[in-house]
Amino acid sequence: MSATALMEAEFEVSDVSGQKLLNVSGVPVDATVGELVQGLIGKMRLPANDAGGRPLTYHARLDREGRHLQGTERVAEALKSGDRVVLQPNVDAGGRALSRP
Amino acid sequence: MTNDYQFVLELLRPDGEPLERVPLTPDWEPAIECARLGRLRALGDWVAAPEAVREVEPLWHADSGEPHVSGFRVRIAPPGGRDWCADFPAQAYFAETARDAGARLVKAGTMAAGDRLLYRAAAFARSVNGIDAPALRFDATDRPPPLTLREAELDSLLASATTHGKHHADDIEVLMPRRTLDEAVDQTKAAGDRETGGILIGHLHRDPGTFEIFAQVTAQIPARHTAGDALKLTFTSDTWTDVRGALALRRRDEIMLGWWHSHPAVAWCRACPPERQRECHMATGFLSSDDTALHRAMFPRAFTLALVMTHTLDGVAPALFGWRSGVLQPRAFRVLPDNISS
Repeated sequence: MSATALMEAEFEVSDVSGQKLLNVSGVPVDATVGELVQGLIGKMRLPANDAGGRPLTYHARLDREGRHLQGTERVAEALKSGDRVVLQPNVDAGGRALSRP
Repeated sequence: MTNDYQFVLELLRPDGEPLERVPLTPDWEPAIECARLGRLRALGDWVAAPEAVREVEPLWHADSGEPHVSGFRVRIAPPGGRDWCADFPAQAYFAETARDAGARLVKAGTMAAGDRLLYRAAAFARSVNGIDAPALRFDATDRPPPLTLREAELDSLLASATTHGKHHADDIEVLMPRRTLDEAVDQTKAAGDRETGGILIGHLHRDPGTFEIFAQVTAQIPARHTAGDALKLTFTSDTWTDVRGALALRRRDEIMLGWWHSHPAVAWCRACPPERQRECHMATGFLSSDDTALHRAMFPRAFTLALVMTHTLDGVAPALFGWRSGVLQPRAFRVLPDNISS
């Protein structure tokens, strides 16, 4: 059995509307932002796919630095205690699915 | 939340011949949000904590009985608070899944395009929760923000408003300034053959006399940093950053009540003669499956709104949609003159 070191930092994650807010802690130190985002989608009950079944792309925006975190960044290196991260998707609207009015 | 049942859709030909049984992985969130709003309207108490949502259970069909269901029930039981249940009809809630399954059967050659397809929902007991654990383990504690309700008298606002669309008794009232609609019309026309859109912002109110909840749109924020053409509009992460920045700059404690976008039917239908364009279903306000998916992703709360501005030969016409029984439906709204503010 192996033990995984966990981050001590605790930070906030919200959806775009601010209506869903989580306090997150105990993230493994070797976890990437991409892995964290995938885990958060389930915990925040956000849809993982678009209407066509394609995966939705969620960006993690770090308010403190005013930038999008890269999926390959280590959470432990990018985030500090008290940080706020907002999950912001690229999401399509429109009449592309015109066969179904 | 617990759900001890596997829901399935049974697909049948019109003569009752079974075609296929499709396991469902329902998105319960819209139903839960509708139940939550229903409890707020009835009991005056907003329950934000997810752990208060206790279970989803099948409602067995009155005639055919178990395993067939007529709908399902969401039960909210906050610690120390009163229980609240809301029932949802299965036919409407699973209609989109049935349409998808039908399209797949047509593609596979099992059915011909245009054939009629019947469907019914069923549920079977299971012993495990249907929600998969995420691959990465970490601690996440919900910290739901409070729902801010401003006090305002609904009747005095309605006195000066004009109604657009047909009001449904289950819907909360929605008020929108004329200026916001005019801006959406202008932006739609300026975009020409391309889709455009924006975010509807405003407040939720409670009438101090009747305790009725209603939504008042105060403005629209044009969506910037989008990508699109005549058939698609992508709201990017930068769009949301821009909107959040605009909300913060306004400093009016507004929330995102919904969104709007245009359907340039005038471009889609250009090849058709004018008389056919006017009869075409594209010329009516509708939500595509992409629109519905966007709304679910961004605006799951039961009070949220989707406005479609359809640009036809005859001008730009609005149509508003909102959650009802966990499904996005056309709904009415009231237009306020510009001298009435929130």
